[in-house]
Amino acid sequence: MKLIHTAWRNMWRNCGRTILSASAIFCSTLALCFLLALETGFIDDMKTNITNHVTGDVRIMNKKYVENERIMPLQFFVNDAQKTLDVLNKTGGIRNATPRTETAVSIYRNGEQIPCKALGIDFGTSPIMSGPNSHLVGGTIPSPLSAGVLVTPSLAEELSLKPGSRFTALTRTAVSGSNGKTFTVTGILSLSDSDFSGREFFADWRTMGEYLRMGDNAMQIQVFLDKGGNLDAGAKLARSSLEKSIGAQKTDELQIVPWYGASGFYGFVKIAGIVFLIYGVIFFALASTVIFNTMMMSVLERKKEIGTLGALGMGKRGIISLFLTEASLIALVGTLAGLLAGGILVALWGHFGFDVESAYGTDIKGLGYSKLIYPALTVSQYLAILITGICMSIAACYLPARMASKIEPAEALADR
Amino acid sequence: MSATAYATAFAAIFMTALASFAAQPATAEGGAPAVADIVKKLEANRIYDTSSMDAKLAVSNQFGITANEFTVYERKSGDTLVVITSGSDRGQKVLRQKQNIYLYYPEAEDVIWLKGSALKDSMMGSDFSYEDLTDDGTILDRFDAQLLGEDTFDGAKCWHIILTAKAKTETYAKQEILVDQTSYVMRHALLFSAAGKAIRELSASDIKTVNGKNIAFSSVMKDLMKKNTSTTMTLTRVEIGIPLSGKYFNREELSW
Repeated sequence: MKLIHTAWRNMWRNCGRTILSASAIFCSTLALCFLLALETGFIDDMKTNITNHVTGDVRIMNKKYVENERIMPLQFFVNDAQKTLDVLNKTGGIRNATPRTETAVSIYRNGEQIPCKALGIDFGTSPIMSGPNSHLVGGTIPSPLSAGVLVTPSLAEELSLKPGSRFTALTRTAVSGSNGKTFTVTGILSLSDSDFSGREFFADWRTMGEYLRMGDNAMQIQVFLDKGGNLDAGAKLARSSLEKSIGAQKTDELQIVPWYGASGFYGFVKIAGIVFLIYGVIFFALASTVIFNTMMMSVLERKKEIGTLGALGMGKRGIISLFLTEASLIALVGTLAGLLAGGILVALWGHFGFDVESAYGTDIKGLGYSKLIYPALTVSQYLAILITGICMSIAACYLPARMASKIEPAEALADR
Repeated sequence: MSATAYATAFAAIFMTALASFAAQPATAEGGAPAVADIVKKLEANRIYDTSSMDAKLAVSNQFGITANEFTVYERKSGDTLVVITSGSDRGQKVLRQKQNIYLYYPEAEDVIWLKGSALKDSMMGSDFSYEDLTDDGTILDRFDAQLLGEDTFDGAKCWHIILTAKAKTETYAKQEILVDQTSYVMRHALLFSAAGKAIRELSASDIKTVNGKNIAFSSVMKDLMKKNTSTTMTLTRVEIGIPLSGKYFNREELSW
């Protein structure tokens, strides 16, 4: 306690230097808060988009389709889709199971074929319709089994489509042939997800099944677990439930995996985490050079004082502890101030959002981000920044502190 | 103008591209007939005023075999209509009028007009392209022919001929074909792109005579750009010189 008191008093003996060191830590902390908040915002957003719009918490697909995904073998769909959905929706621990079929089509317009993405979904249960970033900006939802579709605002604008408009789309089918069908636009669906900000339209999944010659089946089933449900356990639960109802053999034809096993995004998250950890270390390392320098200067200036302390009986360990405590206190003040300022700014940023599209234009299309990202930090992240800041500062001060401990009292006192 | 092409195996359609060397009095060594004469006989087996044929198309790939049946109507003016008659694609139609191809889908309001590279797209998921299956171009005007000599295919003595496209717009810049010396049906063809790469291979068998025309009732096409894939076309009915209604070749009336 006495050590801390002494260290605190020493800290303010040279206010300018202490403020300089603390400011360096403050700036690093603030920058790291922004970076981590942005990373967290992006990752949370992408995860939400991927699970809601692509995989679900658990994705069920035909194994053979997954194995040959590169060539999109449409003939390998999930058989008995309706029965599978019924079984899953009655299984405890599963909140919702919904069908999803995605394929590439060409919209035929004035002799030209315009590439487009078509999705077959259940308008009543798909999070594409009910997600936080989904808005029906015009028209109505198509009725089941109808040729009605919802189009994205971008597609509507490009092809001058509005509710009531019709267009013909061509596709390859599950029986290796081709098919053409005329769809009627019933509404316009806006999704913040940049993957759905281009040429996309949404049809009833059974209509899509017929269109693709898949019958009353779907390409995949998105399974959503009860809140807080364990993903691996959820996948096992879905499998065991299907084995009991449709049989082990048919279930074995399906790939049932948590979203992170079905999307390359998880690898990205891991890499992003490492990259941001490196950023954090670099920021604090830069700040530490300031602390190192100021502490070094402090040791040189206080050589006589250190010698006196040594002459009065303070051991080497005590001197090292004194300087490290000083460094820790400076780091604590700087980091806490940075966290406070960062926390306030991140909260404001998270409230109003970060407009990715304005910042990066349409280059984000296909990356799975929403147009608006909401940066955020968790309590554990705040703690991690605090601990990292202090540890890096202590590490940076160890050398000057050790140098101070090696000062011989007689030599220091005789030094002019 | 070549209904026979289908018979000779849709494949023979490529062959359609075959003999345009009429103007070229090429002569093989050792007293062989002039290459122009060979190709003219070949064409004679492929050209009819009108024809109607039923065929089965079996597409084989790593995932199994998919079968389709269809009927082809053709008239000498160069118009060809393919109507799919079985399976889930039943009712779909493909109409070729000169260099234009029109697709009719029962559930689509528009008749789709294919042009440019779309003509080279696979038809019914097979190794045949739209152009392959409907091509009726005048061969003699489109290719230069050169007789390389004799060869055998499946035990049959054949003339070995190379056809080189006169225009860069041809789908196949070069064709290396074997023409049966007895029936004057193309038994084998290796089809090359403008870059000189062999992109398709066709072989024909089961030659029968209908109304004095020799026709290959079985053809196998392989798209050499794909792995483990081939398409077998088998003719099940061939009628030549029958009256055909003009509605078959009218794109405004494809919904009949």
